[in-house]
Amino acid sequence: MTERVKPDIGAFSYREVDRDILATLGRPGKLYMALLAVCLLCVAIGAVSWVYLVLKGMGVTGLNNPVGWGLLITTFVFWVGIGHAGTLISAILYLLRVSWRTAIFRAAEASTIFAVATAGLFPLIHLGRLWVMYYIMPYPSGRELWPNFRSPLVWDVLAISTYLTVSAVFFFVGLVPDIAAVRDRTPPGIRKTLLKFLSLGWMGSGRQWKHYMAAYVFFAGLATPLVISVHSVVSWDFAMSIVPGWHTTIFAPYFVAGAILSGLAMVLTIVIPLRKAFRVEHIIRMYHLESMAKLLLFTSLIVGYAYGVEFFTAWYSGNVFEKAIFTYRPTGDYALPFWTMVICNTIVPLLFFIRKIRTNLITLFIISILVNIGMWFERYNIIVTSLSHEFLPHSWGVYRISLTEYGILIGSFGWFFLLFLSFIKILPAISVAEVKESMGFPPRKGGHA
Amino acid sequence: MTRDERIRKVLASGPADPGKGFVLTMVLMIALGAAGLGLGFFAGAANAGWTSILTGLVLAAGIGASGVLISAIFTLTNARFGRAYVRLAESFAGFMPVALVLAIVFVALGGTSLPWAHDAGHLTGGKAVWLRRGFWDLRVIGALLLSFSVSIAYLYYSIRRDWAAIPGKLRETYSGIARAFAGRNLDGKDQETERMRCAGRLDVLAPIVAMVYAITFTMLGFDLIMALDPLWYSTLFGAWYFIGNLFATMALLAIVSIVLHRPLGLGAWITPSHRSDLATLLFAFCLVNADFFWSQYLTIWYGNLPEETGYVMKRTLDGDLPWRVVSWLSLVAFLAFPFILLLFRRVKRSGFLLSIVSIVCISGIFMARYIEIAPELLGIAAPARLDALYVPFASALLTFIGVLGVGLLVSMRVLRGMPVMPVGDDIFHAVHADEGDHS
Amino acid sequence: MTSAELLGVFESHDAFLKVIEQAGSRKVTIREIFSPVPDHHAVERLAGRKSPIRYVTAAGGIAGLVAGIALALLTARVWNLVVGGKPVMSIVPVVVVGFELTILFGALATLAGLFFFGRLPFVRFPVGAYREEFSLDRFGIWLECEVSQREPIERWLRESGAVRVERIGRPDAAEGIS
Repeated sequence: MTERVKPDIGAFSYREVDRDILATLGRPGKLYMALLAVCLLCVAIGAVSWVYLVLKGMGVTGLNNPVGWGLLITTFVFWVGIGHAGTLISAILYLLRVSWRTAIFRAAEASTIFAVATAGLFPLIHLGRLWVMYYIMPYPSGRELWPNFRSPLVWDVLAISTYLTVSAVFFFVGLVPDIAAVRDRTPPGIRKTLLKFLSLGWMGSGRQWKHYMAAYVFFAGLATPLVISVHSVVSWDFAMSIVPGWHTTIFAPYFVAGAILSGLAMVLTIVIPLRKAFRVEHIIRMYHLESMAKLLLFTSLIVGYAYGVEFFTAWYSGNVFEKAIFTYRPTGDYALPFWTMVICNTIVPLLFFIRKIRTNLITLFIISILVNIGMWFERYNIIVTSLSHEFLPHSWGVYRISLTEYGILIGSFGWFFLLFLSFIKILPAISVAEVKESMGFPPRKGGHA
Repeated sequence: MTRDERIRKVLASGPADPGKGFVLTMVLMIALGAAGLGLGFFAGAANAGWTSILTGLVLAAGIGASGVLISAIFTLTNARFGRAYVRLAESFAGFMPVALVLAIVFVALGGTSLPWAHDAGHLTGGKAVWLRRGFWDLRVIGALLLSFSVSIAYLYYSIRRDWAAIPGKLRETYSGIARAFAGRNLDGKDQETERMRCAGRLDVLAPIVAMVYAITFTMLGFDLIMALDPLWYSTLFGAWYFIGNLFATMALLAIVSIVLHRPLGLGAWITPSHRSDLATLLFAFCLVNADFFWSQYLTIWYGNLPEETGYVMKRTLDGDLPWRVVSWLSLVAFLAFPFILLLFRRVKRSGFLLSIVSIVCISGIFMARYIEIAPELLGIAAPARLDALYVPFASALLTFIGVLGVGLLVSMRVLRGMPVMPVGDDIFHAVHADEGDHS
Repeated sequence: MTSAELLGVFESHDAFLKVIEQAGSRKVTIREIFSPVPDHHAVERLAGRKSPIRYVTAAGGIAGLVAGIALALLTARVWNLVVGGKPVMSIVPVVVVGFELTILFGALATLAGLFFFGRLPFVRFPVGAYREEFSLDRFGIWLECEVSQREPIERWLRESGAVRVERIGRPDAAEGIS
């Protein structure tokens, strides 16, 4: 199953690449429909759970004193994290001129947007009374009340909405030349008219490309600090408090690395079946997957470093509360989530040091799923254990996830994959223009256009 | 240009010779350093001399290890840019012996200046064990030795890969440590096999270099700087220290490549567009460094816990102490100034402007390290005004200049024994073949 | 002046670039070029000036910074209440708000700049010289020359490697895209 092919797509012509990528938009098969049905079912479970929660109130969750943030906030942080690989691959690797991004960045970007869109639901669900959610927006109201900008929760609203907006713009701008390519291959009809409209009249003219290329660099340049700030701000939701296990300086870089780790794992989970189903193994190659695996290993090492430093400092500092929480995590009520997190995030990825494992589709896929699970538990571990075990023993307590919360969790996965599945049949999940660019200009050796 | 022609072109300018002017400047810098040390030990506040040595030590160790780390990062990422800078960065290994000497001197003689050394009985938690003198000494020297030996192993294969790419006769013109060290026993061997073997070893060593660097320098940051105030702790401190090293090293790399552009014959390989790439990288490191600074500061500001905040207030707010001026200057120098200037293309492409910005960056990192070390070591008690700081600060600054002088002299000696470009590196050749070998 | 318009269609990128380069020494004006991929080489040769989008981005970013800081500080003043022991007008939290809005406004300004300078959405799509193969694997050069020069220019294009040379009909001459 191991394949070692150099990143040489030069054996193909533009025409073939165009054909193969656009073929992914063809009539969906049975498997696709089945997956879609499963997703819809999950969404339905989630919707029913949410409606139940709204009707009955927050009492139907496991939240109570002292644990006021549980599965919903955990899942929020999880999905925001998933949304980080897309911008990393599309913006940071673009600025660093890393060649392997071209084949996968579109799928990664799409997963970013859908993940952030999923994440955004959770604070609203967690509100309980979501119809008052507009209170958090800064607008001049009759009550003369403004959001408190000194609160990290308000930063979060700004950061996430900025992130969603900017990634959507970046994504759409990147899509325009590809929509034009689809448009030109589509026979006249309603679909073509619609595509004409969406492609903004793109012709690949000199003027268009000139400003497009300039703008693209700036989008990438703006998205890079943004992506780092988003998960930093999420980490500050916790680190700005004085809760032991939350209030620590390493949180921002540690969360960013963790976000990228989980995002890469999710992109791998998505891309491995995708390339097989769409028969684009010659475009998304083992080389691309291996490069992602290496990056995943690197971020996993950073996350492991952060785990280690936190434990070391708790021991070194002599602060009894720090020491208490870091003893509680591996040995207390939540030992299972803790060890799941440690094993999945820091030990299992070490296998990627072995080339055979990181170039094998099955092991890649399994490890990527394990990391996804591990990263969900990391957030659970951070959020819930700290609240369960704050300063004074009389205020300790254990949180149990309720059935309603599980329903919403399932619904969020259904929602994310539903969006993704719809996307890959409407627009090309691989960038036509950039794959062509990465091939070099024609005529090339072996090309038979 | 074929691969062979390119190799000949690199070697045509002969062994690296920075020129007399450079050597003289370095000697002058060393003299200033000696004067600075003298000032610290004989004219400054209590422990001013040891403060200067410790500041020089943490910076020299950082630069020595980061040079090789930068090369390892390029290997790890298969980055296409920056290849022409690899060798120059590697030569900064010359700072390692300097750091080691300073460390031995400090551990052997300066340990009494450590604030916690006298009343270790007050230490609680793990600190009571961690900060026991013998253990501490062992860790500091051990961490430096570990980091340096891994770096030198990497350096060996990196240089040997080049020598293996060079035909036998051409090697003869070179002498020096690096040549004797990594260019041995090549005659009669199949050079291409040897080159590939070295490349394979580099692939294995690069991640090891990075991991060992992260661990040892986290420990050094904790031991040499953070533990000076044994009550204070910050989980990010290790990372904050080593990212600062990388930033300062990148800035030093920019300066050296600009100043020695002509004497080292870099003109054919480093064009303004490459310089602009390096400046972009410098900008990126400036931002990451700022991000780490901010993550640390913000968390402490919000938490407002006495054991954390006191450390920051003493350095940034306390009007009865002289430190805040240095703190804010440092912030301007490592963040505001380079951030604004490096936005401009003109600065990034101009050698003169870029070297000015780089000097400011390095002085910013110097001040950051100084402000972490000096308040704990120097016996300056409140109320004290800024003038109490003149002599100790001048001592530390001059000592650092001297450390730079020694380090760069040794680095240039190291560079003499190897080609100034990584001629055994396939990516180096690929990049220059694609760019059409300008001029 | 009676002018004629020609479209050269290229398969080889080298030939395409060479024609752009040599156009200066012939009596022709390049009205537009078409390429299926982002093409730095062609754009650099054709349009000397850098895209002005960078100024728009910078202006947007600065506006965002000012807006963010102003929003956070001024709203804090309206509701003058110490929360969590933090001063009402504190600088530290404002930095985050300013930062996020810098990025947001900068990105939106860049988008606006792209639309403005790139004339997007381009409502008169497609211009007469556009061919659907330009989004697939062909490069196109749309030239304008004097009618008397038409035949030598056509010959030159063919000799330079154009796979096809077309005459663009009169109705399009009135339209322009640049």
